[in-house]
Amino acid sequence: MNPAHVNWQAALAALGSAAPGTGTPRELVAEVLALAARGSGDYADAAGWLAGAVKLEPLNPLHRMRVVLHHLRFGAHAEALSVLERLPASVRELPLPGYLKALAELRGGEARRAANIAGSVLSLHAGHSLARFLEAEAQLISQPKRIEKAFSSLPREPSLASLWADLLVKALVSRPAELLRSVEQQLEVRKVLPKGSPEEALVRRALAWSSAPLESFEAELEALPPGSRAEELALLVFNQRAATVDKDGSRLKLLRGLHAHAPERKAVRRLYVAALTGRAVEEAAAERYPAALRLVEACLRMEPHEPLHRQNRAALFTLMGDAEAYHDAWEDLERHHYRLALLGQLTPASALAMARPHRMFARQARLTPEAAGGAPLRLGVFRPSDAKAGEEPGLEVNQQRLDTDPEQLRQWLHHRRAELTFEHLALGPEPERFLLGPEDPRMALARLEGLALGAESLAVLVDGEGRLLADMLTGSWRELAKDLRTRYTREGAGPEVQALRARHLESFADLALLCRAWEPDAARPDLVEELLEFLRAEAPFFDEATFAPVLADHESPPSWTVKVLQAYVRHTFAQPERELRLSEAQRRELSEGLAAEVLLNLAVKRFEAAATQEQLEQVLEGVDRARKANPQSLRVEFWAARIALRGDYLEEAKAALSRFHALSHGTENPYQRHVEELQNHLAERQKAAGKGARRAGGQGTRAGAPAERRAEELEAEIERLPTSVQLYEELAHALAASGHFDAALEWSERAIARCLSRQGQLRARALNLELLGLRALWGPAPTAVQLYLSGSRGGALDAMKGVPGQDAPYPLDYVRGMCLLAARQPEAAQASFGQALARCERHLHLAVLRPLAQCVEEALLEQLRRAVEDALQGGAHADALREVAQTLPELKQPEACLLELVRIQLSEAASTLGSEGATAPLPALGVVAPWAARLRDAAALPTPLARARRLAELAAELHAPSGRDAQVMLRKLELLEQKAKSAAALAESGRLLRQGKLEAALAALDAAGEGAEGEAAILWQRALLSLRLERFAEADHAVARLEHSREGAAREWLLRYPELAFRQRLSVINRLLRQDDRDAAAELIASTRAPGREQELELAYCRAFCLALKAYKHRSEGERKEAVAALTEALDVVEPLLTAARAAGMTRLAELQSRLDQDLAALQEEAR
Amino acid sequence: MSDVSGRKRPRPRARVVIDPDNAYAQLGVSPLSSTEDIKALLNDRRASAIARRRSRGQQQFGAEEAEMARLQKLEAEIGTPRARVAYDREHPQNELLTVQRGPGDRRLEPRHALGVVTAWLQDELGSTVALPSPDSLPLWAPGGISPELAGALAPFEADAPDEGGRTGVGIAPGAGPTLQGEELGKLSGK
Repeated sequence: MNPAHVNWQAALAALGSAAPGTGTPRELVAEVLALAARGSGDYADAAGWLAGAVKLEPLNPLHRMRVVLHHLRFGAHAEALSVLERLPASVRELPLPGYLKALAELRGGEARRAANIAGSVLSLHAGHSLARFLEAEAQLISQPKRIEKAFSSLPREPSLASLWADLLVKALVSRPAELLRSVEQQLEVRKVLPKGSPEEALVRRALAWSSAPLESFEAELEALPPGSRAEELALLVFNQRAATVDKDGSRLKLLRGLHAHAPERKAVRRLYVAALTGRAVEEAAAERYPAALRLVEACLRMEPHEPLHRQNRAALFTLMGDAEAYHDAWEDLERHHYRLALLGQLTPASALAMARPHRMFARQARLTPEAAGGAPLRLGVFRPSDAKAGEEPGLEVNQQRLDTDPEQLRQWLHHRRAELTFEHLALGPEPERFLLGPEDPRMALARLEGLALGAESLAVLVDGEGRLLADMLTGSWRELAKDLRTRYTREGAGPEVQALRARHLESFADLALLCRAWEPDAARPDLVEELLEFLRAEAPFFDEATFAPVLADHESPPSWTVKVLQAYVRHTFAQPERELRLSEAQRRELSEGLAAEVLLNLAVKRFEAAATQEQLEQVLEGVDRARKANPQSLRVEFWAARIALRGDYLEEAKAALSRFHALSHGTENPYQRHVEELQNHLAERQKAAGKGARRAGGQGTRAGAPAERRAEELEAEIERLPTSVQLYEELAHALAASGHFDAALEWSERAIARCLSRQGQLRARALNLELLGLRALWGPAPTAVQLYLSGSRGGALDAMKGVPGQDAPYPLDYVRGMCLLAARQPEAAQASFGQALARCERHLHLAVLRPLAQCVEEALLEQLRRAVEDALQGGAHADALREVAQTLPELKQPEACLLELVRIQLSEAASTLGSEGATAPLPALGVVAPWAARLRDAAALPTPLARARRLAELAAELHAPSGRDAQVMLRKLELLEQKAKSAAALAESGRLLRQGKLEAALAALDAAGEGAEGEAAILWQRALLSLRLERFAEADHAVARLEHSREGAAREWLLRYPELAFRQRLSVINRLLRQDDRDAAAELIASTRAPGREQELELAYCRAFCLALKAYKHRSEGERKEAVAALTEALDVVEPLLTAARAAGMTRLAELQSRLDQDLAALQEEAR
Repeated sequence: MSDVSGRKRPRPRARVVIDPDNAYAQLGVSPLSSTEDIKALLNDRRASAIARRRSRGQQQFGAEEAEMARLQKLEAEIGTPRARVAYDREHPQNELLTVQRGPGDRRLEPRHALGVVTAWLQDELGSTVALPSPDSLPLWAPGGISPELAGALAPFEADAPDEGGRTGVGIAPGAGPTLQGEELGKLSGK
């Protein structure tokens, strides 16, 4: 048998499992796995199969040798050597490991070491022929003069012919001039190869290439098929020979001639281009750039698809200093990259390659290198600051340069964004990874939008293709991120992810410095907009947890701007010492604050340049934007007052000053003295002009407006779903988290007005009450508010310990009660609710407080429901059970939470569907009730489905309010049970299939029951098994039913089916024809439809073949006329398709036509 | 999404330049040199500095010590394949601004050419013959294929089924061994 002809995928599917009961011996399975690896072109698949073989037979050293061979097949020499090093000493002494080590060293370029190792193997195993030949090959490279001696010492045996052929051809390829004679001598005199053997013929072919005149080498080439290995080798010999005689460019001339003679041969063109590029490298090294450019242009004409030529051209224009051509050439390279990406050539490796030019531009625009000799160029966005003695040199914004060459800033912005875009692509398609481990879907969504925004730079950098690529990437990212789920733990990220996080941090830090220190040109507000766009794209990736590893990295010290940012964040959030950990609201506050800074910087510059009232109004609009971004900024209000005063907008100035005072709380600040001056000035102007002017475009100073984008998104969602109380809760909490209580309360009141269902009304009122309580808490204990809103209500209780309870507003009692409830202190919680009820001043809050003051049971249950829901979303069944077990003993009516147990069991059943079904029984639940024994019985049942059913029945019986939900869950249970049945039937069918019992496998599907008849997986299995059993009508019927399926996989299967069915039908047709069962074959041919052009050709071939057989049959029976008719019909089938067959490379059809033609002629001759 | 229409590619007056202080320039090698060559050069320079230091005698910190510290820094940057990958990724301009050969041109190097010889022979003679190649069957199965294994694999040879879907039901690839014109002769008894 020939392993090359084995269908390893199928063999693995049938034999590659050592599951007990399959009957396949373990050694056999291991051999199949190992040899399948040899036939695989996929590194990871093959590695997995070999690991399986090693696991099955850990003591068989041959599998480890195969692992070495596997690494060598894919060029992983170091890994191969590493496996060999780890072998036990007793195994290493065997000849094969030694030989493989020598082979690995040789392929890794260590010829001398390989020769030594092969020598060592031979010292222990003198008869090891492979090692002997390998030693000679290594000597051919490392000590070529000794090769002739090595030839004479090698054994001559027919069994070694292939090794001799290998060595002799290698001698010819490596040193064609010196060793030609010697090789001839081995053939003619020593007769190392058997006369007439294939090996001898091959060596003679190589000899012919080595001795043919170079000027007429095209004659040799003509005999070789284009694209073949023989052509590649012949050209290598030619190249080697041409290089040795190269004088004054004669090699280039020879190659040009060869290419002119055979322009269609890709291998010749590659060789010629390689020679031209080599010459261009030499010319460039000698600083003859125009000459190098001419050569590179020639390469580009021949290989316009090759990015390297474009890169070389761009490098040359850069070195030549041609400004316009330099920009055009790099844009051309990037355009080419983008085109390749649009054509699908976008792998992690190619993405990294595409990121490189962008990184170069971004890096140089950021901080240009010092010129030779140390004179500073200072052409970048930043420049080194003048450090005083003993101080660390830092960076500062290069204001002068940005004023004279603002395009430098744009270069940094857009190339940095493009670089980051490609670096994300290089992380692969896994959303968890390319979004750098977002904590929850909300963060993932924000990052996704950030990525999409960043990709917009591609459209700026490369007109046309950049737009298309940005759209394509954004679409694919959004598609991939659909499956992202909430994570409750942050897994350790790989080094690539960490590195990209650090790059984002650096970008954000650079942006922060620019926002704070750059004074934008008043005439270029567009630059600020581009900067803000980058800031918006980067903000979702700002992760302060990255500070620590970046600052601790001694190998690549952190950028100065990162250190500045860290200090700024600590100062802003008053966290001077402990580890930085910002809430989502704080992160947003940070980026919005930075946006406000740069907007205000622009406004100040425009203010300085403003000459008309209209211009001043525009400046004030800029200040409005800054205020919207950061409503807490003293600086914004100071400048707002100053600008408004100059424009005579006295009311606005007054309002700004009043906000300034409200924000400063009378504390000392750098604006105080100027504000007092403004105040006096305003008073004087008011005396003279009253209220002053009003802006023509209307005033845009609504203080306290929600600045956060998330809030805006939620507002938009509320517009769509105005009765969703959950959205109001989320929005109000987001606003409260950033201190906007007035706005939050406004929204809660809107919720009261709009959410009119009983449940909605209660939740809206509770929200209103809660916000009032939180606002009261904000002054004395802001941390408690943040903790409460982040979900840590138990933690908030600790933070509000110092807040007095007596005389506190009643909403604060409500908030305290909620915290006590979370801390599992129901009695204290109830007391707190009672106190709130006693002091309640608003009628609408009574409906919330009254039931809580009477009994906290419902509140506890609600809290439990949310905790269970959160845990189940993350698949944490044990956590959900723990929550129930903790809450159950605290309830007076524990039967009310039986439904939660059902919910958990259903979720567990769904997640274990298709496995054995049994899971660990429920833990002990401390319930004291008459039905406790029944609960124990239910909990002890073996499968989650059985437990869920019993618990749902119990809930319906014991707790009337749960009855409706219990019925719904019972219906869900039925569906799940059906799915479990289907999964079991499929598993059984698969098991029988592996044993080759096709009929039984098909019958096993019936066990899924009638309810599963429409299930896509069952139908698909049924269709495939029917195909295998050659029951084509049944297969078609099953597939027809798939068309009604709504399951996602069904569509994919429907697409694949015609091709699969055709293959199976064709296989059967071939067999029938070989068995000379023409009628059955003809019938099957007639009912077969070809799904594509190639298949149509195959089918036509079979049809003609069948007709030809029929014709021969007639002839043998003396029925010449019928025979002629059948042959003519066969030719009629074939002839119209000959052109298509030729185009598809199917020569058999033409051969068949020729044969049939001859036979028809002979038949007609006979007839005459 | 922002509207970028109307925005042009940035074209600042300042062009990109090679950093004269880059690690390759400091060592005086091309950014395209092999890491082995770089390592060898570093070792030579270090040996020479040590020799000069020895001849100078044990005095205070001098130019040789400074040279050795500089070499050590360069080694940390570009002296090992891993460090070099990181350095080149951080400083792409060194390589991008160097006119260079294509990745495919490595096929012309003798080491690759010898590999082509073995691959050619394998194509012509089949992979069951002994050759110094990791694809060679005698290396994977030095004792040959056992009769048990050959028997087990027989159904999967040539027209054996391949995987037809996630269920593992095999469907024939192509048409099994395709029909050939010569078979007509045999089948027709000609």
